[in-house]
Amino acid sequence: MVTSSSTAAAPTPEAPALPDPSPDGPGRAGPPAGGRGTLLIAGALALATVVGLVVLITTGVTATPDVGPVVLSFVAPEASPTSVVVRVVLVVASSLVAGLGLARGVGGPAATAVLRGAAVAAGVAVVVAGILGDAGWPAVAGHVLLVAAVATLPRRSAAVAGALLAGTVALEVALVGWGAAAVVELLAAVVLTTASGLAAVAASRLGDGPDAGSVRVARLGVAVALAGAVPGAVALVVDGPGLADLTGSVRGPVTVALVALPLAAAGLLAPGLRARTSSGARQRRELARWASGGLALALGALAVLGALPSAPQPPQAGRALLRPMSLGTQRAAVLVAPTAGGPTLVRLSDGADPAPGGGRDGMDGMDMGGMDGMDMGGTAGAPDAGAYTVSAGGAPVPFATRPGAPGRWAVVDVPAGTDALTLTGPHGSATVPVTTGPSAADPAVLAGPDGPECADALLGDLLGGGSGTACPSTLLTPAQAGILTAAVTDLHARGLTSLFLVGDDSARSRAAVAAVRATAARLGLAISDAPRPEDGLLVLSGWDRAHAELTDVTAAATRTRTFTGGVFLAPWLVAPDVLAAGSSTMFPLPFTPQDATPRGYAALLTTISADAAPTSSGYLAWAHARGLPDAPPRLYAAAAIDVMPGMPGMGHGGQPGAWFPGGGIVPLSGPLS
Amino acid sequence: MSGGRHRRLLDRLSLRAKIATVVAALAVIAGGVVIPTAFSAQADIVPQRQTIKGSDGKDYWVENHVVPGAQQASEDAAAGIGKRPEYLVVWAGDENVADTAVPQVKKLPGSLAKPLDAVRNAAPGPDFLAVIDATKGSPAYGKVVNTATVGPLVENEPHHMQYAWHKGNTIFAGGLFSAATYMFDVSKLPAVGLKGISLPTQTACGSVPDAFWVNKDGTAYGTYMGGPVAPGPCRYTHGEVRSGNGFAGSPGEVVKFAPNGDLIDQSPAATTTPEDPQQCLDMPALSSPTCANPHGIQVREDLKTMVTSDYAEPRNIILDPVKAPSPQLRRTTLRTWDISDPDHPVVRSVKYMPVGPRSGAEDPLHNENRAMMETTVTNQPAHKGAFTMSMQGGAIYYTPDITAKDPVWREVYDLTALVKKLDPAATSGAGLNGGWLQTSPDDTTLYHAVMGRQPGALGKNDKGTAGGVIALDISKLVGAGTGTTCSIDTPAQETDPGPGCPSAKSVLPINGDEKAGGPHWGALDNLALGQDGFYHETEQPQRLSTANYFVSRTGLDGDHKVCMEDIAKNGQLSLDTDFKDELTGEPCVDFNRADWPHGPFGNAKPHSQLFVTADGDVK
Repeated sequence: MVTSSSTAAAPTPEAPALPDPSPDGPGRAGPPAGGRGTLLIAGALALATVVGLVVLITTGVTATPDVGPVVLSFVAPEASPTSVVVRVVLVVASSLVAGLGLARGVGGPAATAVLRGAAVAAGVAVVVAGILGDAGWPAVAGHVLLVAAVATLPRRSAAVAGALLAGTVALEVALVGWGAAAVVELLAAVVLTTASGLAAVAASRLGDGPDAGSVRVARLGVAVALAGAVPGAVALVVDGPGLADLTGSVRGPVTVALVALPLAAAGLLAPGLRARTSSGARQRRELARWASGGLALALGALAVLGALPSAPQPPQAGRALLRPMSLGTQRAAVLVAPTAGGPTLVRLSDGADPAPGGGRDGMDGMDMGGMDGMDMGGTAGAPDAGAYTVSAGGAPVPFATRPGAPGRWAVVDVPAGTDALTLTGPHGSATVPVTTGPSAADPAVLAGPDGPECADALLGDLLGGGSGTACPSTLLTPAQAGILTAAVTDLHARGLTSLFLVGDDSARSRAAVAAVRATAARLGLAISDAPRPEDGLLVLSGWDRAHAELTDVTAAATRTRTFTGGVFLAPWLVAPDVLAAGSSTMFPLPFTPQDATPRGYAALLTTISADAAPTSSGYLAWAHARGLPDAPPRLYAAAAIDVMPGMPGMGHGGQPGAWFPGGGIVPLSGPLS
Repeated sequence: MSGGRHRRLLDRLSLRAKIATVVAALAVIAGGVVIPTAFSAQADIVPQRQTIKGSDGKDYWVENHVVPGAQQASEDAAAGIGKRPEYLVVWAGDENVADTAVPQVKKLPGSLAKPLDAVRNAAPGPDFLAVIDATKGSPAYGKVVNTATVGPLVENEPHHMQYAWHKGNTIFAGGLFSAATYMFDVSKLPAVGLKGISLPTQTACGSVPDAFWVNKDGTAYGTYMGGPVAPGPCRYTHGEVRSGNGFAGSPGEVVKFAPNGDLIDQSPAATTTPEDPQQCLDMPALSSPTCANPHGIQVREDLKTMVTSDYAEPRNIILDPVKAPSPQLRRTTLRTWDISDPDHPVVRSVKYMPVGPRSGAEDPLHNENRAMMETTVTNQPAHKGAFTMSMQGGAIYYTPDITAKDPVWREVYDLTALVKKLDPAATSGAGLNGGWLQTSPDDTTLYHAVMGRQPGALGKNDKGTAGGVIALDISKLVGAGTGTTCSIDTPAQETDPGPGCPSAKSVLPINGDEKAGGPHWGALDNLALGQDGFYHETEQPQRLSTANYFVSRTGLDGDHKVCMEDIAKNGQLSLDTDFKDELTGEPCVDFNRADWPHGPFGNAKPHSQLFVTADGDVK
């Protein structure tokens, strides 16, 4: 720290060695302020930082958001390019003003022209932000007030105002983030602002002669610049992209710049450390100017960081991978099932609409009473699914729709050790980094008919912060067995006399059929060997078989009496395409789809893809990963409802992310025992 | 050393100035950051929630967001200052497609909308009862003074309430998809309370609630258009058993609620006699075919008779996305009920509306008797008749005596006769998508809202029509009693029904530049301000309100407007341009807006409305 005693000792030709000089107004380079002044400024800076931290904490910014980083990588802050440019100009200009104000307090010259220019730029940018609606007018007024204060007040006051302005700018930078990253960005902004001010001072003072004062400024500048690289490094680690994405995205170079630029600035200021003679002074000043520019650029990078989506999920062995992609101009979401090498399931979805409210208006109807807004799940959005292909270095495999499951699917052979998949669409292609390794999910199941359900469960588990789960079709959990038993018991009590069961070869289905047979035998409920008109139908297979069965039954029921006892589904069959294949279906579930949490899960999915479809398997995997307990099972009924059949546009359904687009799911019973 | 003295002075001053700067700047920043949205519309609204327990033990609530000043104005009026307020209460659903961003609480310069908010935006917003100032001449005319949101159920698909509100009535409001009915307390408007909620497990013999009729004792009948929630036999309150084909299928039922929401009765709309399998398609088929999907419901307590109109099996089964569903899913039947035992309505007659001269095998969807959506009774004690209309058919039917064991229904008006007044280029009244149908209290006028026909509905060359609201003179028809001979049997009568039949009194196109852009629902203002400063029931409504909602086939944003129309002494209808949207300044209140008192939840769909006052303001 610069103290009055040491300055007094240094011979300076221009000004008398006063114990506490405080020249007012713009002046030439004077001796650095007294110790009290410096402490005051440092104190003000610290106060501003503390206030900023307090604001961040009290407004909940530092709380980590409820949604994982995977989801956040799909959602960019809504900002027009104008808003981002305004933000960058605002931050860079204001921090330059703040830095210069601070540096003046430490003893630099007024650097009037630069200061005034930056102040004008900052003021204009703030007002533009207010006009754009990006800022509330009280905050605009405060910011302008501070900028004006730094530019016009006497040196000491200006320094304090500069400290406050630095704090304000840091807050403005940090508020668009959250969690630890917000704190890191706040600190980075404060430190970089101080550093840029010191560098600007050094740029004007260095080499004026053997001058301990300017050496001290240079020393401070180097120290603060090095300190500025630290938050940048932390940001790179905490919030930065993985190694695989450093070059692929905008975020990569920006976060690297946050580390590299301050380091470079420190390096550029370093020659000033040993300046004892005036030779090379011009070069040292030039270097200092470059350092100042570099630090301004770093502040610009910090401002831009807030406008970028979070880093996408890096590939991890044994985990599903969910990433946003741009195939040319088209946004998409890709889900790669965990793979240990071999046939690997990949799902491609349309990217979520970037502008909420755009897109879907449910207007697929025809005039003469055709379809209303009811969407048939993923199929409606993929007329030319085959136009998309995926390749692991070998022959490209086309994507295709699968009955009962949303999105487009492909099973591609991934040799062990592959590190990237290439996706190609009609508008462009992109690569996805992958990694192979063992996982809890059975690869044979993923490549088979129950693959889509497994992938959906893995997706739910991933979004819920879990670390992977077995494929649901491989196992009938005790909870599921209990739900089926309770449901069959309730149906019997309601008067059902006979059931016909439909299953498939999966382990879960076989166990479920056995459990239901045992319960039925105990209750005296008949299980028919062949379907009879008065039977109830209970489907215990996976999505694929269920979709086919329900389609047949629905068509048959229009011709002849079919399963008049009712159509019942296993709890894992609640998926929009499966429900839509039936006319009215009933099923037991350990949650209520209309409740806030399942609706929140469905809404979450819509931020990832436009053809998002919540399913019970996906939701339960998500809920279990988050530690949410199951509710007691109830029976529900579902049907597609359209009170204005044949009038397009009066259809009340079709939202993406609905549990049953165009239909209703209502509770049919209380909790089943 | 004057400079030194000044310097010391300035030192002292500048220290104070520094502190002042610090304090001032901190205060300004704090103001911009921590005080949430000081200038936003939602700042002064204190949400007030009333929570009750549903039959499933869970909490259900209504939350009021009364705009500041509205409560005060209402209290002032009650104290004799200014006019007592009258409100239009609108049951509206959140559209959830065009949600706007959550407002920036921390609106600092350089701020950007946070991605987290986009995640939050994707969740559906709440459905709500909007309370709009409908006091003629009030400076707040057309202002939304409260939005009472319901929870926790979202995406209820708010549908209809009762047809008119009378002093002391609970408001019964149904949710199409949630199969729930809400019972609202409006005695303390602009605030709304929740008296009760009926859940689907309570009305297991029906689904898809539609409309309600409130009796003099405050109880209400309601139509549940869809079948029992579980397929198979269902046992109704008084022991009847009918078999249904599942949730949202057939047959529907009539329920009766107490004012606090308790369920008094479920009665079947289907009789034990199988109905005509040709006209009554059920998907899947029932062993006893039925057309019983009651939608409209009106009652004559003095005649101990209730009338319901069957509309369509509400379930939508897509077997072949290219082919249209069968027209036989849309009903042609009207039911009269004996309500001598008010707690146990029993179907007395099931009548098939006759086809008219326009009908033909080439376009059965637009037969005059296709899709009997609404019904309305006469009101005067000496009159015993009732009307009904067909949504796809574009025709109006009438029976002079609903008390008859075998009432005769005849087509009395083909909308073809006035369609040119809605749209000069139109030639046929078929497919006009009519909805609301209501007699005036004095039985002289029949009001009807039509949305209009979409282009292509009748074929490739069909340009469609505009919609609007219609007033028909029914005085001669009703006056003739059972001696009426009006019957549309010949093609000539499609355009000229003849003497003794209804005649067009006034036709007001709404959104006349658009096809199928007219209103679906409406309500007459049955309340008028008396000399004593209180509201009273009137037999001569001087205005009505309509709700337009649709999503245009051309992809334009939906209209979603609620309009007010004046009824002149001579019966002429005109748009009340003073009933303006408080944000756009245009006539009609636009439910497509970004901000509501309950938050920036974006567009909403207004389905139905009622004229209501606080209990203390009406006699």
